[in-house]
Amino acid sequence: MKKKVILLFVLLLCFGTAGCWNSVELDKRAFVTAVGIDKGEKEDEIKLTVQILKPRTLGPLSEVGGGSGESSVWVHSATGKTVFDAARNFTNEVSRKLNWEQNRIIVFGQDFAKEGVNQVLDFFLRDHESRKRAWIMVSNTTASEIVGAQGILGKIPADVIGDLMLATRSTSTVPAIDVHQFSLHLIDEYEAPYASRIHITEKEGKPGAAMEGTAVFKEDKFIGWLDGTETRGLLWIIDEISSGVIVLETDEAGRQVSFEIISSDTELKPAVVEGQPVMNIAIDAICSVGDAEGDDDFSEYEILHQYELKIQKSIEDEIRACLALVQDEYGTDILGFSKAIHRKFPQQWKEYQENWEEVYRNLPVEVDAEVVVNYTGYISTLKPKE
Amino acid sequence: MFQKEEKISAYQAVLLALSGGTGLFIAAAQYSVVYAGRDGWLSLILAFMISVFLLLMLVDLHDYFKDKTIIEYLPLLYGQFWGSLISFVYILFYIVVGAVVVRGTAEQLRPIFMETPHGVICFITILSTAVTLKLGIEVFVRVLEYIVPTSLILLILCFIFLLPDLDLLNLTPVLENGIGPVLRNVPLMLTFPVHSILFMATWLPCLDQPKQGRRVGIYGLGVACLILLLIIVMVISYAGVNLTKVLLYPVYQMFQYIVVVQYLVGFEGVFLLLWAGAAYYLISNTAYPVVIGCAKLLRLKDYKPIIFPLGMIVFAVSLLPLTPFENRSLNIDLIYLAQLPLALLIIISWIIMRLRKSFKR
Repeated sequence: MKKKVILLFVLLLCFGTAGCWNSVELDKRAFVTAVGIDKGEKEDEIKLTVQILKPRTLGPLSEVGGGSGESSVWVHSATGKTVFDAARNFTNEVSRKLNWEQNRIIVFGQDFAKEGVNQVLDFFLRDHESRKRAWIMVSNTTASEIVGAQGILGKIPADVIGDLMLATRSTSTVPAIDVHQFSLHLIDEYEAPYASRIHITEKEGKPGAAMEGTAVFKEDKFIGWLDGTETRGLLWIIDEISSGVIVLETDEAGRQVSFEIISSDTELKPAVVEGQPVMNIAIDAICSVGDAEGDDDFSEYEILHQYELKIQKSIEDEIRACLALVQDEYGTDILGFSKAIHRKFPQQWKEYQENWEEVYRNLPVEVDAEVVVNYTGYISTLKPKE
Repeated sequence: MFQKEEKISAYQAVLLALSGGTGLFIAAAQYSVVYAGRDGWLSLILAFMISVFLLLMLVDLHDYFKDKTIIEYLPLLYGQFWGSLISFVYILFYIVVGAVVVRGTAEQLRPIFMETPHGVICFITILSTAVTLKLGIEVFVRVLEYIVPTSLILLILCFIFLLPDLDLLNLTPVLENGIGPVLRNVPLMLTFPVHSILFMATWLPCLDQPKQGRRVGIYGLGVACLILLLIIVMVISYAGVNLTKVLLYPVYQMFQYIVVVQYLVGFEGVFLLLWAGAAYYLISNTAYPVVIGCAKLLRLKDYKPIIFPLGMIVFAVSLLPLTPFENRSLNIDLIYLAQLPLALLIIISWIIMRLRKSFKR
């Protein structure tokens, strides 16, 4: 009898394994793949624009991208006093609740970002569905234009932008930062976050999206941009260079040689000189020759070495361009200098932290770049000496 | 009595000591940063070093009162009335701590099962633990033989996959504010080894080789210290001190953050596996002293009939805290108000025992 009761209990348990308490069927979910946040038309209102997946268009037999003209995402906006409020207001027009688990990118309109992004970040950190790997970007126009851009080719536009972000590693002109990393910068008292810059381009008569540059923040407020060169300076400093091309002029005629950055390693080496902090940026980079217009023979060490020195100068110029804006003009530490000084000189840091911004603005920075060109490709020169 | 029929090997005992020390691993990093900040790992090492003395005292007590649990020898040391009263406090502590642990582990599932009432999860975990305990400690440790290595492998995999996103420099500068904050954090970190030692006070009579008590305890605590150290280092390297202080579920978030070759994501399922294992041994570790303690105090012939009634009491108490934060602060209060005084009780008991021994001579 006892065994029969246990068996019955186990059989009853089987019914429970077919589903769970809070199961929501796929057709009741609205999967958000990208979200844009702008200021609303009314004062103190947020405009939320989302790309929602149309799952039925994603199957192997769907015609999206094959000429049917139907987009695989649906773009819609709603407003509210907070992000959460705006997200819930979608249900006034959409029968499904927004689901954030597939969200790839978060775009801030620059006008919104100027007023502070703290509250939005709070939502994405607090919400259990949101992915902390979603990329953070700032648009030079409105976020809704980026999220709603029709010229982004691909089944899922947010995926294309995500891939674009990864592809920019080959030029190192865009910093990649996600929700988790952004929050680490934001929660630090002395550091500030940065984000990638995304802008509208025209593709086949439709607005598309492209990325280059950096959005610089002070505390949680957007305060200015860095262009591609300055961004590479930033990436050299924070040791986030993946690859990239350095183009140098060979002679007065303007003929050029391009070098590919193969690898780089940066170390911030703070020092204290006469009671004042000094920052040394030590870079070790390895490059290879990409192409050459002139008649330089790269099999000769002297020629190669001259180029190594020129590349070092070029790296220093990029870093100086970045410092001129970030350190002198914006006065915001997105470079990790405060952390480096704190780690190396914890006792002196207690003195510096009291007026860190002033110390930071006046911090002397020395750049020491060591470059080795260790690969010249399959040929040494196209014009051999006679 | 009933424990004479249940025997565990030295290896199984190491697993029991280890599971007692690491059961609350999900909270390790958050506890480590309360006062000591990024130096919390030093507090952990100090806490485990101190706890070795406590362990040696407990084993010494056990050698003196052979085949007796703490509930049985307390009346022999302090007299029938005071001994029984202290035993009752010990059981009461484990009922409340058991409830806090059940609730805490249920709360860890909140990000995944948002709308499932925590009461349901608490009930299911208590029920599954009760069923295992009813089968006896031998079955319980046999299950541990599978769960502990699996949990370890999952944690190490998490560490490997997260390695590109970990910044070990988050642990520097070391001892920026001196040793003071580290020492202040030690009582809080003592909760991990002391939990294991207090739990050990109820299962030591089951050890098939009683002389192995010291070695088993030291091995168990040593490995537990290493595992907790790994978790603290992982969380601080992942989230830094500032974010760790405000994150409610840092271990869960670490699993959520894992991405393998830009393709495989969503390792929350793996976290669930880890959670299930930890919940099992953590709740069992608190339930066993309650049922054994009650059975010994009430001089019952068998502890099994009281498992379900006691489980229901623990379940009812687990529903009392309103929020996860309230539950966590209750846990911290319990460390100071009950767990550390109980650790002190072992020291006092050991001193009394040594004095008696010398008087006898």
